[in-house]
Amino acid sequence: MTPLDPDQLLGIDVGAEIRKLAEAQIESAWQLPAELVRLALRAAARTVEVSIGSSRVTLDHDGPGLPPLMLPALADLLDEGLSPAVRHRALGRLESASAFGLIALAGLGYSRLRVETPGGALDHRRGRRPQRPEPRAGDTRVEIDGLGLQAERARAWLEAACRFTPVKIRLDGRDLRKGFRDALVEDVLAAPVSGRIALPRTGDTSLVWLLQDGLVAAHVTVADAPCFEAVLEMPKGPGPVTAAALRDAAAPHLDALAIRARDLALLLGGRIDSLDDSDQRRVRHLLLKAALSGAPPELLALPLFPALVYQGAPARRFSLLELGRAAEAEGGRVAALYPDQDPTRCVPSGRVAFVLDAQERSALSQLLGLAFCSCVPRPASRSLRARLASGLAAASARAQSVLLRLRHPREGPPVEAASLSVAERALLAGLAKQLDASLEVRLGQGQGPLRRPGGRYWLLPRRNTLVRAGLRLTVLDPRWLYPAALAFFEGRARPQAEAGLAWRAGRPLSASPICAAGDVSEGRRP
Amino acid sequence: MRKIRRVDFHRRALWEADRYGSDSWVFLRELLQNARDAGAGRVEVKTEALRGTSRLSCQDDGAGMTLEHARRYLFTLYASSKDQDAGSAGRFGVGFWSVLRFRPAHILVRSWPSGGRAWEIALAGDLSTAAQGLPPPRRGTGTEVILERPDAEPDLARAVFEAAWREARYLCRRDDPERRLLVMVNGRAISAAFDLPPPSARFRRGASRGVVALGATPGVELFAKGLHVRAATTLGDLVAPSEASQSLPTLAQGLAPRVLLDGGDLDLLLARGDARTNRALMRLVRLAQRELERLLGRQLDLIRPQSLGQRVWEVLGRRTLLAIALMAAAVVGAGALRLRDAPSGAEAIVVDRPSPIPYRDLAGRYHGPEMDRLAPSQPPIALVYAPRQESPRFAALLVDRLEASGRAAPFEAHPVRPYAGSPCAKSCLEVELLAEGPGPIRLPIPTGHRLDPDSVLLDGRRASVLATETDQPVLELAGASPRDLRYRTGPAVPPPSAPAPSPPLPAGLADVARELRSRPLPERVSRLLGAVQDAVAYSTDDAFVMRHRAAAAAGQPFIERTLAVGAGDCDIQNGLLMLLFQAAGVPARLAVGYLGNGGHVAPSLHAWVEYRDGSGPWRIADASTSTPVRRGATVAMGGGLEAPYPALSPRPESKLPATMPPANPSVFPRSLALGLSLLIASGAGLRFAHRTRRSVRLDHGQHLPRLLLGALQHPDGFGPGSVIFHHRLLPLFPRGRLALGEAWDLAARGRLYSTRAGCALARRLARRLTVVDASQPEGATVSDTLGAVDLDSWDAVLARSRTGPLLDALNAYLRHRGEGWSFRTATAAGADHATLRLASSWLGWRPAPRIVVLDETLAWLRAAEELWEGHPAEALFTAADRALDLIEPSARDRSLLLAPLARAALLEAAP
Repeated sequence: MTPLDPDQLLGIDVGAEIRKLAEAQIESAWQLPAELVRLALRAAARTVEVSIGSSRVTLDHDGPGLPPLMLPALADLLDEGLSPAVRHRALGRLESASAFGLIALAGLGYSRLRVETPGGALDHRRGRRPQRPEPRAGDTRVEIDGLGLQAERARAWLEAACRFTPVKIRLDGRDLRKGFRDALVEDVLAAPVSGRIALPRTGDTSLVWLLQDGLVAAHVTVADAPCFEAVLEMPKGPGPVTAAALRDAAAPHLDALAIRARDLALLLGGRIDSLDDSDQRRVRHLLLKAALSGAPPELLALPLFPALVYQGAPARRFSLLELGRAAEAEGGRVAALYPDQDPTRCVPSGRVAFVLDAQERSALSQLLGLAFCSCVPRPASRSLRARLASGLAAASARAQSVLLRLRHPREGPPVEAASLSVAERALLAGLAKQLDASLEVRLGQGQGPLRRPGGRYWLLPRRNTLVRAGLRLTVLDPRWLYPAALAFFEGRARPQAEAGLAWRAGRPLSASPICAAGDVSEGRRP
Repeated sequence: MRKIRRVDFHRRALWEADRYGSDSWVFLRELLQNARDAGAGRVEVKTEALRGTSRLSCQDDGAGMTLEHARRYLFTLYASSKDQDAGSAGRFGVGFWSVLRFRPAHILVRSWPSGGRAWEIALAGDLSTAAQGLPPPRRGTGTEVILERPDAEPDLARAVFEAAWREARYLCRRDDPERRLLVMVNGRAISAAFDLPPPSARFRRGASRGVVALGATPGVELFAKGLHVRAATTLGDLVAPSEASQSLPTLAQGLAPRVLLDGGDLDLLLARGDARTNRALMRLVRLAQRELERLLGRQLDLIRPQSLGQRVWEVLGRRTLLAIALMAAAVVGAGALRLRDAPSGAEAIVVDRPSPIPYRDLAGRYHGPEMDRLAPSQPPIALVYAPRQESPRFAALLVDRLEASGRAAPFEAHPVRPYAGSPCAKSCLEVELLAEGPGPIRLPIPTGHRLDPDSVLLDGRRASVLATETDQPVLELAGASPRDLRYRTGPAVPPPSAPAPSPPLPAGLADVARELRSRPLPERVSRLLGAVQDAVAYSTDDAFVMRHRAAAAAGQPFIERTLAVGAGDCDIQNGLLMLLFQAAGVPARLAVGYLGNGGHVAPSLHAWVEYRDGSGPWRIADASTSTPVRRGATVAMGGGLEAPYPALSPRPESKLPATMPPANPSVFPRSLALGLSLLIASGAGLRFAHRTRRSVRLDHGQHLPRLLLGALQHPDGFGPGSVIFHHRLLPLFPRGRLALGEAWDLAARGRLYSTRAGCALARRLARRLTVVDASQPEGATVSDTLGAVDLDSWDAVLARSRTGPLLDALNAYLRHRGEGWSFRTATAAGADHATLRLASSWLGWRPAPRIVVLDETLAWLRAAEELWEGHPAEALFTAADRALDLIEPSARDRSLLLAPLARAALLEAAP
């Protein structure tokens, strides 16, 4: 073997080094504005203003400027007239400072670069040696002309990369949107990694954004977890910062993030009543997803699933355990409505009907082996035949009334209040209580049909057969007020719901509780 | 370029080695990559951990490198001989120095180049010393790198094998990307098939390839030229966040996408752990997404094969089919328009042909050139000919003399002279004609042809043919019924004919004609044709019709009035042309007949001029051709005279203005067709060149219910257009299929039914309702999950249900009121009540029948039934009140229904 001088054998192609490091560390020129913002953040800027055009990029920030040695290093790097060794050292300095944005400048085809910071200035036109004009006071400004980047892509990337920056960033005169998009809940992450975590209202994929200097530098997806979005500020290691290195560094923390997301969903599940319907559904989806990956005990007992109960009990929520038991009681098949189905327009089959969408049903089928039966929707409108029959019935009643009126053409005058019997007073009072308060019902003389002399005024002839029957029956049992009201007014004035309840309950009307809810609701059906 | 101090080199090389991330074995990838780029077909990696040292060697059979090459590139950081080589995997010039991650004490590089001396360089691990020597001789070319470090790593062999497998198991040869590069680690091959377990699909497009599969857990691995780049969970991870789009969900039960991608044209970043989000990567990711969807469709198709119609529907999609339908409608519409506006025969005839009518002799119906006599005759005559490729002009009536008024000389009523035809030997035309008498029938003969008299068959029998004064063959038909006539014609020269007398012409025209007599016949023909076209434009406008009529009524001679009006239809133009030909000594006659195309004739009559040169055959001259009309020219050359028949396009029914030259109908469609054909051929060529080659392996054991359940859990991930929602996967009872999306929609409206046992109720309702066959697992899964109405249990409930007098009365009342509900009772109904909807309403007239089964033990029902005996009206009101509360949510409608019952109850109960 013949000894060789290693210095003679080994060398660095500085030209290639600069070119490759400039070109192959960022995706393309469209990443440059974000890298310049990164430098600004590292320089403790509080406000950054970026303008991106097809051939011109400018960046202004209010930080103290570049570190003292960075601008000379950049000038050396860009100066092709300097020796390779000098440029190599300049490159090393910039790389040690992770100033990839500045290194990238050496590989991009701009026509003019101007950097002005409180500590120095640089003016470089392509093909000439960089100039070092006198520094000026004020903010830092970087101007790059003739860059030829894809402006739209650069804006999109800048917006994506700056989503979580702590400082104000304006792009082309408007503030960039920050933070998680449409988060249901957010929380802070502490050691071992710092950052934030959120549960988004939409989406299926769990994403973790990895930040370097406050800017997104990489992202990873987490499988088999309730959908969450997290952002981690990655500590800077000793070696070169790359997206792959960031992902490697984040990998050990991903399981913990999934657990944290599940805990957040559990937290929301605990106060699900305070959320609106769509958020409730989203929380249920997240928790079912968590349950499919192994449900913790507290999840099993959490009352999450809304149900309508048809035994006079109020609507309530069932936990997974209760739901399983309810299904068991119903033979493994439970009644369920879809969320967009109106419970009042459905006839459920069963004592309990859950309100579940297809995703929830699918997950519950998988978890508990449940089967669902749906409710039969009531017709949205009555059939033509039914409406015709109803019209004929009304016409028939009207004809009978007309006949009666022909027999008794004269309308008897209203009976004075003082002349009313006790039973008559009770009847009128009962009717008044049952009907709309704006209606006035009075007794009249004679035996003709029920009349309606005014819009809200009914006159019941004292000796009309139906009125007399009603009078006799209500004296015996006030519950008869309900059929009496239906019979007297034939649907044109309707008794209130509690009158019907009293009739069905078999209790005197005076003893029945008055419920303010107007219509019959499924939950109160006896 | 150089010289940087060795210390700088070492520091820089270590820095670059660290850039590769946390995996300390990543240098194996770089060594294998160099071997591949050197054209190796086999690489041997050997490890030894003996006597306190770990030794690793990597030897390939590539091209090797000269020492000079090594000095210039291998030992010079960032210099790479592969910078511009698109086929190479490496290009940064730093990969080799990742061997420093092994922390070697000694580095030995040996090479046996093809065009130079073998050499070896030994370096200290800290690059402080170097020495050059000669390697041991070996057969063939190649390179070997040996690394040693002074600690015996116990798991060295395993770690190296795993690293090589992880990084380069799909490595292929540089010169044959479809052939594996054999990598042996301690005698064990690490090469693996680029594939995934089924269901999976391998695809290759250009230099890129991939495998997509459906597995239990999601995962994506990206390779560049067979070398590992990175692993990820989803395809979206591979691209920049701003470029990521929704893909198949990360985890759907049994449906997690697993993907291997190997890009031949990816652009790696310096750290090698990422590829640029450039067009190549985006294309690859999109391709993988499409292939995943396709695989899902294929897998579903395997489990539940689709009919041909469904496949066409799915492949083309509604929009495509709609587009095709619209295009077809547009083509038909355009064709219809074209037929209406077409100047004449050719294309127009073929598109829309009404039923043909029998041919009758024209002699009694044509009286000479007039503008209103040659209106299109609809439908066409029943004449067909073969070969269809020919486009003859069938002259049905020949006029060789016109009176000054323009009337044709009277036609011979009953010709008596024999027809001197000529047997046809070649280029014959077979003609079939349905002819209608009675009387003489002039046979339509193509201009330039003569009839073969022996070929004439009338109703299958030979018939004798006579000749008219103008030498036209004629048959005498006895009856009025249509007769089947067949004959053959062929190109032939007619016998010499007596020249027609020169017609009287206006003075100026006569002079011109006289002058032309001395010219050669083609020149005469050409100039006269041009003169007519210049002087008389083709038109059928009503204004010109009126002017011709007025002039004729005023007694103005044909020639003068034609020139005065300056426009006319085909027989006006060609009538004038015939007269001019005759005046110039050209034997000519006006032919009135039909244009043949594609074996049929045009529905409208057309007129043209037949002329001949001495004893030659009759030829065609047509002043109504597409040649532009040049107004204002006194003498002009005619055009299109000797053009083949199809190029001559008379326009008997054209509505174009007189000054507008009619378009040649054949030019545009042909050029368009040619252009379109070229375009389609180019597209097909490009498509073929960039086609995606696929190899699909499906899983026969794939569990469809799990797939469906997964799709229901992740509807957003699949998207509404996914095949899993549109494929007809669910079995219907008793036959048929239903798509998951349709089932979902029906279930949400309470209109999905199911049966496991195929009960009588299901059989009865299957025609009117959508009944899923739940005896099959996928049917059971979906109907149970979505909540289908179980007809089997209903069948059992209805079988044990009954009605009593009370419910009968209630049902009768409801029927009377037009309601579709009916009530029954049953024991153990499972709940207080259950409701079954039996069918759809018909146009909203009849209500959909609904059965409500009440639990027999219901207290109110029992009370009402007890009341029925003594107080039926009160009982009915009580039952109706409770029953309507179950089914009728509208208080107003409830009140309307209850009012008559309440009245009856009051009247009944009043003491």
